[in-house]
Amino acid sequence: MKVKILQNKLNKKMKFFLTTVSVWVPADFLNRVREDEKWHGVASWTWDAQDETCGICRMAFDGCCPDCKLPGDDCPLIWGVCNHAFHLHCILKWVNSQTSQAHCPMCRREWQFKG
Amino acid sequence: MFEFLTLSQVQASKARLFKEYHEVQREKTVDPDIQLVCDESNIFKWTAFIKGPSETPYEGGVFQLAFSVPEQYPLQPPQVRFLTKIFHPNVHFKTGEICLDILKTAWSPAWTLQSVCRAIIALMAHPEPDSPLNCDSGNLLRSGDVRGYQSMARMYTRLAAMPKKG
Repeated sequence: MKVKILQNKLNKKMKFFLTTVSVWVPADFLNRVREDEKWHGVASWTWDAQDETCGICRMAFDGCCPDCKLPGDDCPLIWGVCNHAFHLHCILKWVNSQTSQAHCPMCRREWQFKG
Repeated sequence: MFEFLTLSQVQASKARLFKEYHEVQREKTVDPDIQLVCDESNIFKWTAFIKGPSETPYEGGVFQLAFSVPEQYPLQPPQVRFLTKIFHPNVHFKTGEICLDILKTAWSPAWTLQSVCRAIIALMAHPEPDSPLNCDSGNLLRSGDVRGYQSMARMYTRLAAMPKKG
């Protein structure tokens, strides 16, 4: 038997989505539902960004920036007021490299961190 | 501002260039006007062959560009110059240096080597005579002598950017 939970919002602030959860349980599951039953869960996740790749490093948003080893909360995405998303580490490098006001690499509007 | 350049930035620019290398291999047939090739032993050196845009004096010519990519790329723009002689208001006649805002102050890390090539093709079709690197070419256009500019540009295209006959 397969239990599917679709689009279960795990963490709204980080826009961290749990897209699919498949849980395999014993065939006689309905006959013997017990609280101490052992489950093996498999989950996949994806960032809720419109583009698929970061405009600065060109790596996939579901991957991480070139300085990091593992994707996820350690290499988060960040949105600007203009609604363009980048790896936090990538946009920080760009903002810090500018002597005056930094602009969004995608739309050239003044870069302001959202929210 | 880049005195704290770390090894990781070099790794980052390499990773980004490898990414572009793969994109170029994939897009080869998509943009027949641009041929981008990377130096076999140095990922920071690239060469591009661009076709002169149609309905311009550069039509029929193939122009070679040399890219030198800094280790701070894509935070800093690549250095690009024409290796093929070209008569254009915004290209230095001797050095091939290009006057284009996106290669200087208006650079953004969202640009790629491929899109820089497209910008240069657009500049060939739309010269900016008010910020000239080639004053002779700029003065012809500014004085309204479009015919004079076009015939000079066409002559150099034939001399330098077309295969020699026979």
